[in-house]
Amino acid sequence: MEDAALVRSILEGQEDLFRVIVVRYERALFRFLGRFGFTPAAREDLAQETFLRAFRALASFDAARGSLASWLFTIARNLAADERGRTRHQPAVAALDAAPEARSEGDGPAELHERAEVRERIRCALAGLPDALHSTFVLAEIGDLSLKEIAAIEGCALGTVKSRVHRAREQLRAALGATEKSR
Amino acid sequence: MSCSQTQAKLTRGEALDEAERDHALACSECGALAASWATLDATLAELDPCVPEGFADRVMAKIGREVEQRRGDEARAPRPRWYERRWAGVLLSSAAALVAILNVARFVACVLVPVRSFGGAP
Repeated sequence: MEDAALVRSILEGQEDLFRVIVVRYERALFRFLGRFGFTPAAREDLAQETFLRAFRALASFDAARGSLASWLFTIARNLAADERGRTRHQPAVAALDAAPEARSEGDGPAELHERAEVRERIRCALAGLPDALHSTFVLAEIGDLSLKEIAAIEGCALGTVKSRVHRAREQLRAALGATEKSR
Repeated sequence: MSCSQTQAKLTRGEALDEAERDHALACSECGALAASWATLDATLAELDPCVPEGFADRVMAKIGREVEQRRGDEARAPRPRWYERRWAGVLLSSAAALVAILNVARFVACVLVPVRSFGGAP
């Protein structure tokens, strides 16, 4: 069932169908929130709040003005930006959120340590990106939105989105380069 | 196939076509750049968190509670009196408008239209 039809059915009283929307977008939403370096608890709270706000305001969703995905990610982006501003001065909290180790056979302690170090550098570089660059890059990274949709969410021109993504990627690669040089 | 063209595509994170891939394999500079972008993308993918188990259930439970509360509030809300209903408002305003029109017509007939035209005494 398409998003617009789903929304119509939910508004007509089939609230249980909202689960389809949750299941459809939860993975992308967690990927998006994961790039902000929030703790798992904060991430879940933000994801829940995103869906709850979307449910409460579902009647105001207009499929003619944009996709449900961009509408949902606009809510998530605003919530994440507020949370990022609130926890900006708590680097220790963000560092607690270690991603599960991507382990492959034959990885020794040295390789695991090396990869953990690279991850940490990228995480720090991501956290250090300016707000506009960070948010645009993360929206582009999750891959569920077109650049045009990202431009609508960010309220900027398509060219600005492209240049922000480019700059963010360059900064992250520079952070990666620093890791390689330090070896 | 130029280095700048391949490197621009790599930087934008776009997929390379066959010729560009061959070039990246042959050119050490482009190859190193492609490798570093691949490492970055792989590292970013490692940062992806999993969706916590039962997440959708928890969201739906919260939504269920909200819907129940909303329905309860609607059921508990006092029924509007007859004059608070929409049809009563429309009816009363129509009646008021009709009375006003009749009054204007009466005024025109009594004051503005000359008495003689009705055949009354001068």
